[in-house]
Amino acid sequence: MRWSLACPSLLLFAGSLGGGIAPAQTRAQTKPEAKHTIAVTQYEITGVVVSGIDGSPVPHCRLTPNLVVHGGSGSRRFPASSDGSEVDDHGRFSISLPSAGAWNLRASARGYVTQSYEEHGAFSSSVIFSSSVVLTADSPTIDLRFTLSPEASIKGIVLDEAGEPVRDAQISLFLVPPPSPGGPPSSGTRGNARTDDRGMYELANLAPGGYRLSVRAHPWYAEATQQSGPSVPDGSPLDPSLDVAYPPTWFPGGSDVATAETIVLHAGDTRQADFHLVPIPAIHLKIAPPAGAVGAVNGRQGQAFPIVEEITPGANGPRAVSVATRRDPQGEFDVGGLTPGLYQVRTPGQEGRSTMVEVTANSVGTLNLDAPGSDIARVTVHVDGFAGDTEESGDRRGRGLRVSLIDTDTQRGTFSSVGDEGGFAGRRGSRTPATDRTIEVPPGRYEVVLQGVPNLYLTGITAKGAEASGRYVTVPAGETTLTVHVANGRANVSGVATLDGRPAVGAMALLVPTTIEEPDSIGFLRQDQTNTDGSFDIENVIPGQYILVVIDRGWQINWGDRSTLRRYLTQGIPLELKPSASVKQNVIAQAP
Amino acid sequence: MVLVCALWGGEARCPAQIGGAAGVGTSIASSSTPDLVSGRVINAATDQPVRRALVRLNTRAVLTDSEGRFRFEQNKESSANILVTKPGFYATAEYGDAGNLYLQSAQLAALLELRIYPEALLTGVVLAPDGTPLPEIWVTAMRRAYDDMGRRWVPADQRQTDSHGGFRIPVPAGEYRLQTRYSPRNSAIGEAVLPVAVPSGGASNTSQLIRIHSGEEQTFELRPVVSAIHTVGVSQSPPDRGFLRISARASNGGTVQVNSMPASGDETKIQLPQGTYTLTVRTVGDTDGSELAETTVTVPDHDISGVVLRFSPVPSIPVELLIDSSSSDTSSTGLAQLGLNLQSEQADSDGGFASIGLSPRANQTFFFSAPPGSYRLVGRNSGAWYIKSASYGDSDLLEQELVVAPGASGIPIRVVVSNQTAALQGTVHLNSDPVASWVYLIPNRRSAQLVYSTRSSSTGSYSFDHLPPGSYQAIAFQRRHSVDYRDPESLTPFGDRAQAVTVNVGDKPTLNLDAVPATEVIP
Repeated sequence: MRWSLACPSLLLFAGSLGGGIAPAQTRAQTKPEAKHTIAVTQYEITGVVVSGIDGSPVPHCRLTPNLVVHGGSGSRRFPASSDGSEVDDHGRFSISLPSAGAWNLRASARGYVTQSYEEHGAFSSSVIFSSSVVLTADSPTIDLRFTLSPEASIKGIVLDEAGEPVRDAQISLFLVPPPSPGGPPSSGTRGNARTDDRGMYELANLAPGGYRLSVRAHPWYAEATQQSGPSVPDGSPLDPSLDVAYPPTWFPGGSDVATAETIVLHAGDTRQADFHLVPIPAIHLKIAPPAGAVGAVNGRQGQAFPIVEEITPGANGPRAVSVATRRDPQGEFDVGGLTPGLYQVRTPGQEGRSTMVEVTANSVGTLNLDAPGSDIARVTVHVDGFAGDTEESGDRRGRGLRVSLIDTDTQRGTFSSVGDEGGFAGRRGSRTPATDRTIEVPPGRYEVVLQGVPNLYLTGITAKGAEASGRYVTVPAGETTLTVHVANGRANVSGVATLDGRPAVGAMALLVPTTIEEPDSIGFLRQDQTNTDGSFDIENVIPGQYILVVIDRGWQINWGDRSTLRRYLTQGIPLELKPSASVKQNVIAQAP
Repeated sequence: MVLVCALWGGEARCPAQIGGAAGVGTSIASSSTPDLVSGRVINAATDQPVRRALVRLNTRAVLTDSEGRFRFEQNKESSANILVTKPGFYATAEYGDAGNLYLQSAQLAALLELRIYPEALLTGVVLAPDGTPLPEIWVTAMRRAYDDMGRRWVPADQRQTDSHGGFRIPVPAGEYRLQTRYSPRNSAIGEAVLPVAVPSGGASNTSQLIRIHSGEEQTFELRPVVSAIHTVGVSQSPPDRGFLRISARASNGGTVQVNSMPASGDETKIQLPQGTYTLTVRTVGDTDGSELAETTVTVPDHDISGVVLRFSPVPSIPVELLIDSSSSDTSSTGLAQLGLNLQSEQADSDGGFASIGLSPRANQTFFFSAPPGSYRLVGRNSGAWYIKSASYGDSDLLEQELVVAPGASGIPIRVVVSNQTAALQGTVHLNSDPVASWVYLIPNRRSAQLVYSTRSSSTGSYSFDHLPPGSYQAIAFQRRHSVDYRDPESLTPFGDRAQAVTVNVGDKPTLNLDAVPATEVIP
């Protein structure tokens, strides 16, 4: 089974992997109604929790079972009771459960990573694979060996250019997953921390894996951080040594993610990662006020101050930055305290007055909110084939279709169709189908991802003024139009994997489009992990031609080379998935 | 115009506006504007220079050098607002004071010595009874703040414990109480962590407060009770109040706020850890129909039901204003101008002091809606009017506490005001020079207003125009000095500078004072 991480920023990526819907699904392979055949059945999970390093029992471990129930467009977990169960001194546990079903079993112990059974958490930044414990009337009990990984941690200190501690610096931790069978994996945040009065931070309870760290902070003495006293109508000149900012800094010290070191953590590791921040001259962005907004929005001056937000990689939308905004006598705004990067500028209360701006070290000129910059791509998105509210599956919760452009190559950001507010969509659920919306992005190559209507899928893209290929589109600066062709009826594939006549537990199930190596492929690789009864379930698949393979211990394979996958595909089972098909297919697991 | 708003990690932090504090010094007729403003920034606790401190002179700013020195050349300001900032330091440890200095040209011309105060640190660890460190527990530092009306608790800062249960809360020097927030399900132990406080909840004795000085670190080990939570079925009499917000006070004074869950049948369900609690629920009616229910419940190691909340009206105490017969004028004051409120020293849900203000009725009358308990009535002068006496039945509310009995209603509080006041004036000196300072008058007899304060001008002169006649202790401080002046010990360290004075109706005697210098008051 697989779970999306709760972090909303990652749901978009989960959507791209999972076929365009946010929550991932798991189906209880065996239905609970089997219980009527036996009058009283004791459902029970027993076992031992051991350390992933030496196999020694883990004492004081708590286990929490949650019933995984499939329903609607997603699955939910229901706690069995308010309490979990604690292991004995030898790491043994015995949990009585009220019913059959697929149970997610989660273990937490001090000094260990909190994990589900057979969890492979470091393999994707967006979803976590683990095995459900499946109990049925025929096999109401199971005995498990639950391996927990000792927690790793990263700690460090953030110092400024004078060697003094930086307080309230924001540390972001990004997972760098190993290569996956589906191609280059995406990175995503896995934690945050804030430095204390000593400049120190700690990121604890980390699973083994590769990580990158970035820090965001402001010089405490800088003009944008300090308040600037009473109004300064003449805008007294700033002392250049105080008009500085810290660029986003990746460990060990560069401002470019390409220079970031991947910190490899093994179980139980503690790594020190210190930062020495170096200020750069702050960049000022000049913004001409939108026409009609000068000094009189709702009759109150000052209402129309532009809001400048930074687009950060891995974040779920723009985030507020610390800026100092001045207004000169001509009404032009001067936004100080910026570092090079991509920003969204919008005017509060003004519909659609939003634009994207790339700020560089020698940015000059004035941003005009009425006339978007020539270096930004304005993409008008037209959706073809979406029937909106009339579809049975569509928009029951009042949520419409959302089209997002995801910069999967550089992971610079996720850009969604602009909502009513001029900000990122999603805040205000749009009741009308997302047709003819405009998305502003930096020029480049993007993956087109549909969200909001689970059953809908992409069938193709045609572009005017841009280049479309498969799920991808390359947009130049200026105006372009995309027509996104969609259809209804995603398919499901489920089955049981066996190895030597027994259930293959915790194996990697892959559903690979036959077109995977073609650049214009619409379909993409889907993945699941088998449960304790060997069952797997891959839902919401784009119809098409696929090859199904299940690989025992597939998590240990180095997927860095494309040819690795080819080797397994030759022994896979070809499947043709028609729209809305539900295919059951049992598989013999392959050896790794 | 300049708009600065630091938004960081979603948390809005708009720094206090400079220039907001009262600083009405009459300016000395200055002959010349100094071309150079310079000086040093000094750590007030160690007398060592502070490097890389930001000194702001109106809109200009500069960092101090390695010797703590700063220079503003080509100065054009004849008077200036000066503020020093540095992480780990406060420009003043006084609550509610940003620490701005307002200097005239003569003062700007001198070599400035700007003293800043290192922060104090409240650190420690939160542990379960078996010693398991408890992560993700919010620890709040509540600061005791004093003003003319009395004392109260204000939250200074709050931090979450780390994976080792540790916390560090930097605060200004002062008097504190540390408390943890209720956590219904802690990740480390899977159980509820009850609130705990230092000093413990019931304590109102000031000697038990955490007193911490600039540059000092005090470490605490907080051991909250942990317990599994259980469901408690609650029914209401009379029924149908729907959603309830209930505060459950444990025997140690810690309070758990719980929300009711959707009702099934006639009972509302709430979740509480094992233990004995006083449940308090208060409803707010449309007018003064507020109702209160209080009951005691003991939660065993399993779910229970059958707890009944019996609601009764909150006592409503009318307040009447009477003019003292000797008052001269016809135009009087109104009750609303007297800042009347009832202060309870029983720790409320936030561990602070509950304060109940006047509630108005439609017909221009006022009342206190006060749950049963003991309160102290406080108020302030309004223009020329002062509260001469206040009574509730036989109780003199200036000397005694107001005791509200359950079901008490109808008996009024009678407040007598008078405008037959005295006055006082004088000059404050420091080392024989007149100096701007804060002057405090502490009444010897209990009064509705606990202390009278004013600022002397930069020429040192001060004036109180309306004082209740009587005897006072008078003292001046160079910097604001807010403490509990009801405590006789508060003036002991400055004994020789405090002076006794008696003022009579219609008099305006002169009393000159020697200020306590800022260097003598290390917070």
